[in-house]
Amino acid sequence: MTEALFPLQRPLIAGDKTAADVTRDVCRPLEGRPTPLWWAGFLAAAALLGLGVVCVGYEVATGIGTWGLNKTVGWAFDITNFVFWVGIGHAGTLISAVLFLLRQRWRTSVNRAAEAMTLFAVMCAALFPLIHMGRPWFAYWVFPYPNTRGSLWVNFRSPLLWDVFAISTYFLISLVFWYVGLIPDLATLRDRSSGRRQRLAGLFALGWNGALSTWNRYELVYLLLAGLATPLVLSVHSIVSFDFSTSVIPGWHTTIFPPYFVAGAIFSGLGMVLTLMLIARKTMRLEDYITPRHVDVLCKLVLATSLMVGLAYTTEIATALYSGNPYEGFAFLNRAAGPMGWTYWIMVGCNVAAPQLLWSARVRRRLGIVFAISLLVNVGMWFERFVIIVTSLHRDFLPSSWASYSPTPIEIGTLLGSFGLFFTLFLLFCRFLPAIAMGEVKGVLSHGKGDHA
Amino acid sequence: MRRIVRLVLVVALGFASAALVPRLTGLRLPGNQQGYEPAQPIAYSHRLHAGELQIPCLYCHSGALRSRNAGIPAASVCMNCHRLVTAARATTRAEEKQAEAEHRKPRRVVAPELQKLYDALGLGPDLKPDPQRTARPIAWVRIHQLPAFAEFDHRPHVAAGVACQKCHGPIETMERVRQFETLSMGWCVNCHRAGVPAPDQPGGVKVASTDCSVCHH
Amino acid sequence: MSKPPADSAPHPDHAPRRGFDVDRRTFLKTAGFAMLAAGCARPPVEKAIPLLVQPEELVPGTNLWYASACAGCAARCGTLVKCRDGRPIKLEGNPAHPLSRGGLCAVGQASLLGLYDSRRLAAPVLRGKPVAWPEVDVAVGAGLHAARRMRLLTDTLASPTEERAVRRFLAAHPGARHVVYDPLSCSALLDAHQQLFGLRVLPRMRIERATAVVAFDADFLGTWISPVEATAGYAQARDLSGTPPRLLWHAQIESRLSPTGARADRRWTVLPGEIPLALAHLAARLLPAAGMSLELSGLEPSPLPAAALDELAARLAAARGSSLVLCGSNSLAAQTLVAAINQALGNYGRTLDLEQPSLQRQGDDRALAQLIEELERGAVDALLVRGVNPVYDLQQGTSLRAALAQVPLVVSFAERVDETAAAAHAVCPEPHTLETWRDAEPVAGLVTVMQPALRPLGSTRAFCESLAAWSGAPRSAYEQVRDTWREDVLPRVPGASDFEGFWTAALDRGFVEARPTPPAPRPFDVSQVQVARSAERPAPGQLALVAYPKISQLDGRHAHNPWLQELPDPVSKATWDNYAALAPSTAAELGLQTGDVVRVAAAGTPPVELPVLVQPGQHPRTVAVALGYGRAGTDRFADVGPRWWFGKRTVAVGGTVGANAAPWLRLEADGLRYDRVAVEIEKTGRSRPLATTQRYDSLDVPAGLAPPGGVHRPIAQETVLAAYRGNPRAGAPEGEAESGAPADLWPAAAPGAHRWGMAIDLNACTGCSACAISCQAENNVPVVGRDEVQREREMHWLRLDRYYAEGPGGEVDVAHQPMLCQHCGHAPCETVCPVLATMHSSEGLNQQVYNRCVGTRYCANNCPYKVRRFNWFDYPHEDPTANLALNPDVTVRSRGVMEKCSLCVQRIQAGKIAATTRGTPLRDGEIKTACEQSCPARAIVFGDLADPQSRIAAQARDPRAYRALEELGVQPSIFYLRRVRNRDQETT
Repeated sequence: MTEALFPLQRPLIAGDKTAADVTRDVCRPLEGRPTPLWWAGFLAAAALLGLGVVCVGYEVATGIGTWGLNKTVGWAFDITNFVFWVGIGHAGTLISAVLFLLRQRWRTSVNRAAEAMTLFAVMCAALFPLIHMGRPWFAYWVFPYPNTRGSLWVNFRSPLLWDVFAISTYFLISLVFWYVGLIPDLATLRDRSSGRRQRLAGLFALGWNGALSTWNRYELVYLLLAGLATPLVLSVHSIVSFDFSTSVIPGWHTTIFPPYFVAGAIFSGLGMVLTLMLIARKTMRLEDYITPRHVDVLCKLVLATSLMVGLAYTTEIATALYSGNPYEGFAFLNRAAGPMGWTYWIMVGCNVAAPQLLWSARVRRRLGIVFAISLLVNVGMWFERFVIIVTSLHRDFLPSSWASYSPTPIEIGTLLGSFGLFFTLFLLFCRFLPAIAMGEVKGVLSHGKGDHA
Repeated sequence: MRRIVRLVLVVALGFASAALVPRLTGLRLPGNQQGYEPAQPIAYSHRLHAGELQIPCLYCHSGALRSRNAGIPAASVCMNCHRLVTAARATTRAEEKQAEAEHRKPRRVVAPELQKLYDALGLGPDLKPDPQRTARPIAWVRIHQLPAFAEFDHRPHVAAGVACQKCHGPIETMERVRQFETLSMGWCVNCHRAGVPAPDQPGGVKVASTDCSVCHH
Repeated sequence: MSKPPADSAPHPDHAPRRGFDVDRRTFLKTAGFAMLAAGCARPPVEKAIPLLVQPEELVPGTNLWYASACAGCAARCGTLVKCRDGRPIKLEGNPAHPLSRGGLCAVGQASLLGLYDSRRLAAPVLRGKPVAWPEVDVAVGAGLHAARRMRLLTDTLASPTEERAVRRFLAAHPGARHVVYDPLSCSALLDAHQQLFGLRVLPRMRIERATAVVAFDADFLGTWISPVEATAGYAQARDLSGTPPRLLWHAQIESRLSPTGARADRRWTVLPGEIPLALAHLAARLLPAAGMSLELSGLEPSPLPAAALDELAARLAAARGSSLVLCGSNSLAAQTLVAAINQALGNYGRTLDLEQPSLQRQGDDRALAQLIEELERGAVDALLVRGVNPVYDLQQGTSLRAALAQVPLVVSFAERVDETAAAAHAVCPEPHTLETWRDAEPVAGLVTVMQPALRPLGSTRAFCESLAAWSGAPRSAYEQVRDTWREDVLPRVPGASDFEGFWTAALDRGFVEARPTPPAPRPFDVSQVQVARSAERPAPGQLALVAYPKISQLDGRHAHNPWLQELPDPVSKATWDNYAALAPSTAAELGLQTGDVVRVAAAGTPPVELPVLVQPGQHPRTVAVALGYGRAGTDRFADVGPRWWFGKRTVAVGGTVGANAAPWLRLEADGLRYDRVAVEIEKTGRSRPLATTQRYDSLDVPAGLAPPGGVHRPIAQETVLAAYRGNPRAGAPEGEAESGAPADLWPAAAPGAHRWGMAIDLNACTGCSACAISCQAENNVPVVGRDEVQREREMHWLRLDRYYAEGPGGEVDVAHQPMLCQHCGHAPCETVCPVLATMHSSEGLNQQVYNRCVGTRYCANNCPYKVRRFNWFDYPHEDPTANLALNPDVTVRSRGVMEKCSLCVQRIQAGKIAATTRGTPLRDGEIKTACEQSCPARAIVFGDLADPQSRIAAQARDPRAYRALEELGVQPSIFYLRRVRNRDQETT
């Protein structure tokens, strides 16, 4: 009860809410009719999703040739999007699990949405390894299962296989963590609603009765899950980075990748959390729950991770040039000054330069600017992955096979489609599930605190 | 507690059925044609020829020595015998008896299945090429078929002394040829791993290569 | 098989299995997506149809080999035709053949596909309607009967049987005359020897005997006269691993960068019109020493620097008797001067053979000029055209078409309705060489029999059969060839008496060595030498135009062959197009870049629009355009390759691949000239990107992107003779480990029975690309079309990397390097594949298993050599006739799988099986990969590194041997042997 000891501390939730207020405010969007703003967002997202479905369908039916790849550049948008979305997923786990273990109570207003975001991001990510295959109908071959081929297993040395395990584990844990967190709120929904909605909520509330003993067990489970999820924040993106760092291609073959990727992932995730928070805050009138303070904290985290990423960029170049390996050195000079140099400078501009504005508290309070920066971070982090993948591949060892790369409309459509999928799912989530963990928020209310001092 | 038990039972039942159903119902994985036994244009009997009459396999399937395909014999090969043998011994004998009784020269009796062979070759009743009839090759139904991406060659297997029956089963007992083995990759590979008795050192085994490119190129 | 494969009962293993294969694929696709099909579903029923009566020699599923000769060009190299179940599936060089010695060029390799061209005429055409032969014979017979002035226009026959048929035909038709011309003419060279020696023959080049060769605009390794023979000799004369080691000195003086020029040790560029003058200056330095009196005063200043002339003269004089001066120019002055120089150097009888002259070119351009004049006068009653396409390949093409309309009877023997046949009354299609009996005598005394490998696919009739039919004595080609061999050839062969035995032996070997008809050369008559005292140069602001043949297209007779259309030019690396090649300086001057479209206009010809290609090593005042493009009907390739939403056509419907350069040729008094003195180049502002397979041309990384010490990449290593003499390892990058395996974290591979490897001698490789087509034919590599090549998705398993570098005197140095899967011992591709679709074999092969591949492309990304090829689409295999060319031993890959060089593992398997069945171990060299087999320079050696006695093991020990990117520790199995240029000092 830290608040009791420091009555002057600024409350986490504005507007002196009672527990009842919280329930009402959070459930309002679920029980009322959706706002026009919601409908606009949903239709836009659904349209993008439709576009994506068409593009992916055509690609699977016709061949990978519908993408702009060539004999030299074998991956581009596909794996870029994959790494990008996996990265987005990270902040969710960070906020919900790590910050929970660190007793960062302010997280309660944002963790639910962040966890949902993680799930949807991982869904988008998982799509790409599947559709980037030349023969996706044989995708099940990447799983080790008994077969009549004598038996023919999978290649446990292949980082791509490690990905399969890493991603699926990550998805499962995140799903469970998110669902367990939802249980008390589902019970609340159940008690407030009637009819089919009640039955549905009731089913998933697993007969929650809000008894003290239930709460005890619940918090224990939640703590354990948080403990389980935390290492994943580090492991998943380290493994994703192995796809590149274990190869021989200059620009991929570097030891710094695991920490570099994890930092980048959290950075991009926080960027996306900020974006979504600011949108949700406006569209769902949650200003009292997502206060400027939350934004301020997130901004500081963004700034910190941005500095880490910047450090990684410089280290990378320094090592390459210091190594004396001509191919390595060339790869990085070519990145910055080669035919695709512009992508590199977009990356540096968005990921290192722009976030520096957040040093100033005034900027952090100007939500408009913060929103813009958060968008830039998303763009920058997408380009980071593009730069790593494409600029390393397009000019590797043999000058004879140096090539260029430019995306086809199909590829661009697929990227937009993944955003469509993400936002469609997220908006549905906001519509049908409590976007804020009522149960936890009530735990950090300042209402009535200090009365009985 | 009871609930848990029930749960366990249900799961166990699921696994059991998954394991047993293929055995009981003969469901196969796609591509596995074990037991395939189509009707052939001519009811040729391996039991009779290879079993009873003990004609060596290589007499008709000589390709097994010289080519990747053992091959289905050309109709001309059949005629080596069936120029003379036109029906089962019993029927011809009966006809001879009949003829003897009726004091006439025995007519040629032609078994209906063999007639198909003669038709294919466009032979007249006197088993001489008949300009009126057109010769049409016999369209047998292929039984042992490997996918296009699996290259099989009979020669090294024959050279290694692998008996025909090892892969084709007790063909000499089959009235109509049936695919005896699964012909799945695992089935090939296990035999390659086990190998065959080495000719040079007694008791030793000569294992065959399990490199992918031995069969896939 | 006694019936053409098209409608015969194929063996179960082949044609049906293709179809079945596809069905199965779709079947598995559905089964794969959801196991719904499991159990109940069965692949479709397949019939197995054996032969009714099986011929003795034919065992289904085995290969039969027939010795024959290639008709891809007039060189007539010896071939072995590989037939499977009655259909030819591969052409290979005949190792016993004295000319080609086992090599076979790209065109020869690809001519197999010409056999299965479904667009060839299947029946004779009379006035545009397909008819039966009797009708044609009646019509043509009548026309010929009425004709008094009949002309038979052919290319060089060089065939005893056909010449005999022509003689009889002419005898049967008084007033008939036979006119011969070669679209790629050597008329002036022939005329020169007529004047100087009284013999109208080509002396046979014996490059293998030479120690110094100076070539003026003669692409003798690429397209000139007999490239395969020349390449074999050239490689022999530059064989540093031979005993004794030899290194011929080769200088090239030319106006454009030819494949031959790309091999030269010294190279100078001059305008085409300057060559006779340059020769005169060279003669002036060499003739006096030989005591030949020739008035060589009053010459314009030399186009070549004096130093160059001195060097040439010195080198040649030092190598007198073993030197060789060649000239590809069709100017009589140039050719007589060349002959005089060779005479002065005493090369006749040594490096130039008049005893056994070459008969590969016999065209007489003066006769051609006369015929054209007659045609335009309307003084011809009947014209029979065979083997040439005058409307297309002569400058007068258009006017000729008009003239032909006046001729009462025009008969063409073309295999399709080409430009000339379109103007003919009757088209009497000839069968493909693999469908008929022919013979050839490419070099006096070397008589080759060309035997068919299958019955004609269509109702076609050989040239000699048609002639015989119209001479009133119908006789089959088979009988005619046998007659000729019985009556003409047999008597010329010492010690041959019994014809049948002789004939069988000839069929078995493919050729016989006969006594050449003894030529009686007059003593050299120096007075006949013409001296060019001045040069033809374009006026300021104009450029000289050179029309040249490409290795893949020659004179355009193979324009309907997709393999050749997609074969990258060895020098420019461009496919599917011809273009206006300009020197970098000229392009910069005119503000042009590769891909900009320009209008090329010459006096008297309509302007032609062509994309520009900036070509280093070209004379700044020339524009070079390839012949053989713009052939009618090449819009058949509009839809070659994949079709999808954003795919572009290879050629517009109704358009042609490239543009015809023939209108720029000139028919001068002394012969057909392939250059224009002056043309104008005009920008159009439009651009049309070329489909090139290589986008960066140097081993030096771009300035500014190079880290310290990282400018040059030692991929294709080379050195100069002086350095090599001192240190046979010269040319190796500094700090390269001399020997000893580096520390290794990997488990050592279990030692298998064999350890396959390959060595490629960069000193022998000429970049001729025969290997690339041979590989394509052997491994069913698809053609993808112009748009896909432009998207950098060509499928060739074996490519020829070409790098430019600064050479001596500011000239460009060219390096060629065949690049294929390096079959790394520690292959980066193998570790990353999630499904084990690419694995290491126990014999050191890097195996790619198509049917296991799910297509993540991770392996291709991780390949340092970028030699893996991905099936971006299902490439069309819709033409059932063309599919007959597919190799049944190699799986046709489906969409979405990775593929790459397998070191012809199907041949390795076949070889091992043959060894097992016969019970004796494999012999070194018994297994030959397709590329090795076809290489005219014998630059490629495949073998077993585990056998210390093998040729490959020896080559791997050669001090010149190195492996590309060895420092990565991937341990490639492909060794390269450093190139050594015959020079005194390194050029930086």
